This record gives sequence, C-alpha cells and structure tokens, in this order.
Amino acid sequence: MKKIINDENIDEIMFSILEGEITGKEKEQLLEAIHAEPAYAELWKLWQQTKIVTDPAIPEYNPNRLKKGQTFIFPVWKKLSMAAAIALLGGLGVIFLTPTENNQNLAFEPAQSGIIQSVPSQNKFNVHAGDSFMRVRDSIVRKKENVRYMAVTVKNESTGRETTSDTFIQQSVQLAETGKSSLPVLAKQDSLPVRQHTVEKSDNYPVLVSVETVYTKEKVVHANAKEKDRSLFSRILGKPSIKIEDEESTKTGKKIIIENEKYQIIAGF
Amino acid sequence: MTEKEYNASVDLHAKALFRFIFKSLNVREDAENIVQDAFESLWINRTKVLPEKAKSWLFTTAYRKMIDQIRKEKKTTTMEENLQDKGYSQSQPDVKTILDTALDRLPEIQKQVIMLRDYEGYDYAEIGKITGLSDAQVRVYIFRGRQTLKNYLVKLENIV
Repeated sequence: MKKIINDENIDEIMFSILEGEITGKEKEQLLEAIHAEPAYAELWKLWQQTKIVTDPAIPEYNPNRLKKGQTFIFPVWKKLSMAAAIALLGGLGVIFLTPTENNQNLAFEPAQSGIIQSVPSQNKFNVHAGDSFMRVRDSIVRKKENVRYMAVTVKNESTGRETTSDTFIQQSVQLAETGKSSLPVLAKQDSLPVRQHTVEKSDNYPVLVSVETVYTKEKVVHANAKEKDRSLFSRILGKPSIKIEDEESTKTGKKIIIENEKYQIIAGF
Repeated sequence: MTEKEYNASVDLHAKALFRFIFKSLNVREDAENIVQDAFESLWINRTKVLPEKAKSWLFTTAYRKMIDQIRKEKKTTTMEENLQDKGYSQSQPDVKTILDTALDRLPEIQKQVIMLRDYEGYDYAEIGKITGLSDAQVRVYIFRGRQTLKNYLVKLENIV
C-alpha cells in the first residue's frame, strides 16, 4: 500500500528511511515523492545531516598498555646460566685485569759491562721429590696467589751454560712478603730483564717456576715512553712468538720458548 | 576468557571505546581513565564474560562510569561559550562544528544513544543493553535527538 506523505508524517518517514527501517522499492518511491516536493527535498537534506560521522579531531589512542602479560618472562634456567656466565667473565676479568707486580712497574737497569750476574743458589731442594715439591708449591701458592709457574731458562752470557731456575720460588715469596729482593737486578739481555740461577741438573721432571721479572714497588720510568701507554693486555700478550728447541735436561728433550718484547717464558717437559 | 582473548578484545574495542567516551566528555584524561577502568574490570571478570560479549560488556561498563563522571562534574555551558569553544564564527558557519555543538547540547541520554548508533553502528537492541533501555525507548531517544539536531540546523539556516 502506498504511503501518503504529508506534513504530519514526513519527519517520521524521513527518520525511518534514515535508520534503514524502510528499504527496497518502498524507499525508492518515497524518495521519489520527497524529491518531487522542493520543501521536502530540503528537509530531507537536513535529516541526512543529523547522521554523525566519525570526528577526525578525536585524538589517537594507544591501547597497548591495557594488555596483560606483555612483560617478557625470563626462564629461570636462563637467569641462572646468565648469572653463571657473568660470574665467570667477572672472575676472568679480575684474574687478568688485576695488576700484578710482575706485570707492571718493571724495573730494569742497563747492562753493566755486558756481564750477567749470577745469583748464588740458596738451599737447593729437590723440587721434583713428590711431597716436598707439593709442600713447597702449596706454600707458595698460599703466599703468593698470582705466581705463574713456568720454567725459566736463561742463557748465561758469561758461562755459556744454560741454567734452570728452581729457587726462584722462594725468592718470589720473599719479595712478595717484604717488598724487597735479595737478588740484584740483572743486566738486560735482549730486552728481557730476567733472573738467573744455577741449579743442579736433575733427571726428574723440570721444575716449573715463576717467570717473575725483576720487580720493585718503586715506580720506574719506562725506557720506551710509549710503553707505559700500552694496555695491560698488549704488554703481556703483545705479539708473542712460540718456538720449540732442543733441551737435554728435559725428559722429552724439548723446550718451548714463548716470548715477546717484554717477557720470555721457557718451559720444559 | 583467556589472556589472549582479552588482549584481542583490547585490540578490537579499545580505540572505539575511547572515541565514544572522549566524544561524550571531551577530556582526554577522563576518557583514558574510564577506558582503563572498563578494561581492568573486564580483566577481573574475565572468567564470567564470554569473548563475543566483551564489546557490549565494555561499552556498558564504560557508559555507566561515564554517566557517573558527568553527574559528578555537571557542566553548564551557554550557547555562546560552546560556539566559542568550537571555534564557531557567525560569518562562516561550519555545519559539522555547529552539529557538534548541538550534539553537546542534547540531553545526555539522547547524545549517548545517537553516538552509539552513528559512531559504533550498534542496533537498537545492543544500545538498549548498554544503556539499560528497551528497543522502543532507544528508538524514541534517537528520533528526538535527530529531530533536535535537524531543528537546530533549520534555525541556523534561517539566521544565516
């Protein structure tokens, strides 16, 4: 049945069309009638304008903070492993970065008439004898925590005889405890300030002793001004060379020489 | 409702809810607080609310909080103040601006149902659930609201 449009129902009809309550053919016919009347056409425009559109002036809103469970959950085993890794790195850092007397404040004096002084052996002890060696080693380890055990063989320029240090352990302890060394400073030999001792040759395994260089608590002036600017690592580990040479006194008949411009480490097996 | 479903609700409804509340209150901070309260309430009651009912639940909760907010801060503004706030100039009337002003002047319930209808596209039944009205009541309020807006536009045209 065709709807009749008049002034009393025009608002209701237009509202129904606007709300989608009237659709299809009926809607078309009503709109046709509305547009046929200019006053109704104007009124229809106004009704259409009452439809609110999205206001672009509304500010943006980020709802992410409303979400739950967004925090990163770290598994317990990962925490423990990270803690262990940090502790390990920290420990290694303490070990390698802690300045030691033998790595810093190196003291050396120019060669004296090219002669290397020989340090008289003190109480020789057979460090190779099992228990005594262990006792000696343990006591030294206790007294001087950062002693590095390596064999040192130096070449005696005056005698041409190779010697192996075995009493340096006691001397290192003495120096650590008192800050003084009863040993004289040796002449420089190929840029390597080293100690020299004489020991009896032994058929047993070569002793591993500290490779401490001559050190003193007094500050020294580095011969090379640039040397003191070098980092600890570069001074310790800078460009070492490794070579293997024959050595009669060792069991294998070989010795390893690790040296850089500052240190020389010789170990026999 | 699981945590995942809750977060999905946030993605789906948070912006629309904020838009609706902000349009009513015109204060960003208040709108954010109400939205946050509504979602917090949803989280607390997540075991009772089904995911498909989250939208109506959120709008209902936010609507009630908004009404409480409005009642607490009853604002009366004159037509001239509204027109100034909206940047209205008599020499250059902007229909949209005028309409926003007229919308603000509507009774609160008429304003809310029109915004739910036009901004969010709710049907009468959904609006009735949110506002606590029947379908017939919602229709009546929307009709009266639009009629008021239409009459305001007619008056403006006569002035201009």
